[in-house]
Amino acid sequence: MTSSRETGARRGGSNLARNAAIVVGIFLVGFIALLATRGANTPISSRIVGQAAPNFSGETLDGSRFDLAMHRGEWVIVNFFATWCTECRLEDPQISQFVASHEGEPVKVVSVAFSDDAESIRTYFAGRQGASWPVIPSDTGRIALDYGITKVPESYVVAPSGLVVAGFFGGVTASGLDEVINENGGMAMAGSGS
Amino acid sequence: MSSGRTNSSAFSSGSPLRRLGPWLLLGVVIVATLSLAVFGTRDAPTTQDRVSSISRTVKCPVCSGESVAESNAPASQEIRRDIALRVQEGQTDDEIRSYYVARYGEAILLTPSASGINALVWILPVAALAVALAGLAIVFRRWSTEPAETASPEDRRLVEAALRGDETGSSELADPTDGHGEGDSR
Amino acid sequence: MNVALGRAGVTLGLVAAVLGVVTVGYGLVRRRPDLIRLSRAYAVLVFVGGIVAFIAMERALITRDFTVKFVADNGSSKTPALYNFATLWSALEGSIILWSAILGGYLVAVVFKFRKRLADPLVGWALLTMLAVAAFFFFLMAGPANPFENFSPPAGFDGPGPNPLLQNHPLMAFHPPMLYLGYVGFTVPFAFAIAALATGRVGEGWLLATRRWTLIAWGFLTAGIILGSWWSYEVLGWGGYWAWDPVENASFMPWLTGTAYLHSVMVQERRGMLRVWNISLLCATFALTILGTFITRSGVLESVHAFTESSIGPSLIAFFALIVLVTVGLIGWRGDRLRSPGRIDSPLSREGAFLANNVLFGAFAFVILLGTVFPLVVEAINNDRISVGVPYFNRMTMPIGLTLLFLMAIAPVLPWRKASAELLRHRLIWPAWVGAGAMVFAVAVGARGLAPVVAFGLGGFAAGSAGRQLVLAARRQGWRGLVGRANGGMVVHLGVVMIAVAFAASSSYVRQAEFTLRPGDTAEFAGHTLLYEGQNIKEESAKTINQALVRIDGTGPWAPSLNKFANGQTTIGTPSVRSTFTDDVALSVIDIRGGDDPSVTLRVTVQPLIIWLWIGGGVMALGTLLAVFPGKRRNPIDAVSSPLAGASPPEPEPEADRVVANA
Repeated sequence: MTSSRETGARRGGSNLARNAAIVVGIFLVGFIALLATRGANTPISSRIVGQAAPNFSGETLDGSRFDLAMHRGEWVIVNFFATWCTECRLEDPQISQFVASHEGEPVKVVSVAFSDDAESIRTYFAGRQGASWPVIPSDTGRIALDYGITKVPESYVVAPSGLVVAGFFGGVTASGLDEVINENGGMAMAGSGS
Repeated sequence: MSSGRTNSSAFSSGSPLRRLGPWLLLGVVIVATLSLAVFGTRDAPTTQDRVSSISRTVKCPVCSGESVAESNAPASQEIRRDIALRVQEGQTDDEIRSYYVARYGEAILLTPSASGINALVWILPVAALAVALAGLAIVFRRWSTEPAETASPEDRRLVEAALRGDETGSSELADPTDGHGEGDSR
Repeated sequence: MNVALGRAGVTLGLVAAVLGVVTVGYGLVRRRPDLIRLSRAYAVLVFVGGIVAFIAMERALITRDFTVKFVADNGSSKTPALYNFATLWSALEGSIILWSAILGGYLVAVVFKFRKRLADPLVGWALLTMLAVAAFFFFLMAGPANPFENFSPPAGFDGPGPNPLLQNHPLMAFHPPMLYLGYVGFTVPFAFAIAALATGRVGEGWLLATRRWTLIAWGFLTAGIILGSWWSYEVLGWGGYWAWDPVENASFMPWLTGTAYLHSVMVQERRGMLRVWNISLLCATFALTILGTFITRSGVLESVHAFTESSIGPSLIAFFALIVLVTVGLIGWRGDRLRSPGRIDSPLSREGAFLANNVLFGAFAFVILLGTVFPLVVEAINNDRISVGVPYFNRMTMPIGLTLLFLMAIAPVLPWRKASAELLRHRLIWPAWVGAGAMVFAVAVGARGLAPVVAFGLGGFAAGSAGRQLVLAARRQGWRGLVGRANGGMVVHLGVVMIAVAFAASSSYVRQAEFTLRPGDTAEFAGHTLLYEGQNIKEESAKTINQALVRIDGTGPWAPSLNKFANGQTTIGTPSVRSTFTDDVALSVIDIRGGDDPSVTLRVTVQPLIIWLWIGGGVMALGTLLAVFPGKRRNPIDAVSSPLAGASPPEPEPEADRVVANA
């Protein structure tokens, strides 16, 4: 940890040793301060919030197409989930509730499967009499990576302007989604997108 | 060398060619082998090889320190699959990596970029090594130019003081039989 | 009962250590040999305290006494006996017990070894330092990391058992104790270094007194690191064995500074030089073991090995700061006495090579420290997150490693003081041809690429040079030519060469692929044929094992598996490795499906020469044993350094004479 130049300590080596000790000491004090003040580090997460929402389209469970570009001017919640993920199953009722409460409003939810196979997704939603919103059982993973998904569930709120205004890392709640929409201008913003 | 005379006469017997011949031959063998190693034919890397070499430089976003090549987390599996797709699409390694940087930030790469403050991680070791070597060079130069150290009058005075058992002298020299200042520590 | 017993042990150890520090300290200051000699009693009491705590915890684990919170948190009635015993060191609190017990053992060993010199201030200060370190670790057990907390288990309670990864391979029973024997072992030379600084007896006495202790600690640390990487190869299932992970780096940094010390200490013994440097290296080594524990246990840096996080981070960093403060202060204070009397005549000499060795080991440790903490630095400066991983470390350490191999080749044949070109030409020609032969062979069997082939060449060169020294020593002294520090050191060098060559080969020529196979399918990869036979499910008390039966080149079946543990929801893969002397085929299951469409997704990693890592580790351990074994020893009364340059005649090189006589 000390400079190898100390090997040169001879006559007058006392000064060299002392100076080196001071330099090394100061360096180490800074180092210790650094270690002592760092908290546990934050995990890697998506950088997409604040940027334009990456466009995507895909075939949904009911056979129709969902194209994000077609929904410019509406609020879109892009939700990523998997059937093997417990937290995703837990957030399901919340999304249902959110969709129901915004019936007829310019608010859409779209769920995109992450690291899952279409068969399990079909089975899963069939057991629940289908989802009341479009679900893309896409298996390529490209959509999820475009949004910088690290683990599911993750959801992003796309404003009518096409900007991603918020991300939920973990399950969403209906009230949480409403709050984000209201904070960013609410329904008044809808239709104002280009 | 105490036996330097015999040794050197033994070594230097024979012509320079005989002395240096084995080394010259060695040099030729090494150069030939290395050029074969560098320029010789080798299997072109397969798509699979490229995928695994790229995935070893991309960090698994949800693990601690593992690359996506090593981890089995769903995100890593997706990224591996995506890398394979992009390799097939003909993207270059750097294009693929910068796609992930745009999505996840620079932390997704296991190799920090050489720009801005990150460059320090590449430069500092080289600089430290250079300083250390320069220091060594200076010390050796000093050693070779300065005369060997001899006892100064002050040293002699200290020793005499110690031999008289004078406590103000260096206490570890109090024992006249203890030339190394070790006390009875052996 | 176990809680009470354990707490009694911890209290005994803590009280004995604190009282020992106070008593010995008072005796040293007041020059009261009767008080200094009491260190013997305190050392024994600390040891007893540590052992009682260890026994209490093992007893609680073995009897599944869930009234001890540690057992409730980490034990389980389903854990097999071996892993149950090893559960003690699978979590933080228990590992501190192990640490303290080992430290107590070292204390007693030092007291026994120096039993005739207990009143010597040097030994007194050393024991004081060791007792202070012991006091810190017993304090951890008494406060921040108390292993003996009460717990009232509900009826029918069963604990979760240790982390599944830690009960997947028997190596777990050996790797942590080895590592701790190494970590803790460095306390002994560190304590003597502090004692040398405190007493002002900074000559070579303390070095000679501790050199065997240092070697033993180094040997344990080496074995611990290699067993750890073997464990991660066999358990983690990603096909690798060394990931430059913060925890691995934390164990490797003290190894590097310790190795540098083992070499440069010879310069001080022989020439009386590099005193500041050697003391700094030892103190750095000890401080790095504490820093390593901090990194492993604080959660500041993310790591695959950080199995527990806890609140002892602040205590450890404070202790690290104290060590740094004390040692830096002492070195600054004693700077005038530490000035070295000698000089190095020529860079082309044994001592010159050791200097270069130290610069390189220092640079190596610096690169690793920098890479490990750099993300923290960047985050502190501009709040940006970056990662520093395997590619960085491989690229930066490769040139250092190659240069070290080169030094390893020439240093052993260099004489002290000054070497002539003639001498080098004579002594190095055969090792150089061994190196060239290794390169030719490697290229002939298909190795390509500059770095690995150069590594093989330098490895052969270094091995040739170590072999030459061993052959000459054996010719001179028979079997005794293999023991003693210098000769044992050459055996260690052979082990290092094996590891370096295996590392270069496996990291340069690794091939990895994923295959999805249905029963009866075969796959060809990197010259090997894999045949998937089918799935096999085994139920064990602690886990359900879902094996994929695979034949590799017709051998086997090999059975990599996914294990579902009963208590956790976690699924852990267990790889299966077919090792030969030329290459390893490692299989791990990514996904396995039964039912009517059965298939398995396998990751196949083929790496050459992996087995030589473990063989090399064994050779290093053997070499350390040979080096510890007393060889033909220098008479301790003989002068080890000449006070005035030129006052003593240059040492003859008996071996050179011998060569000439044989020629």
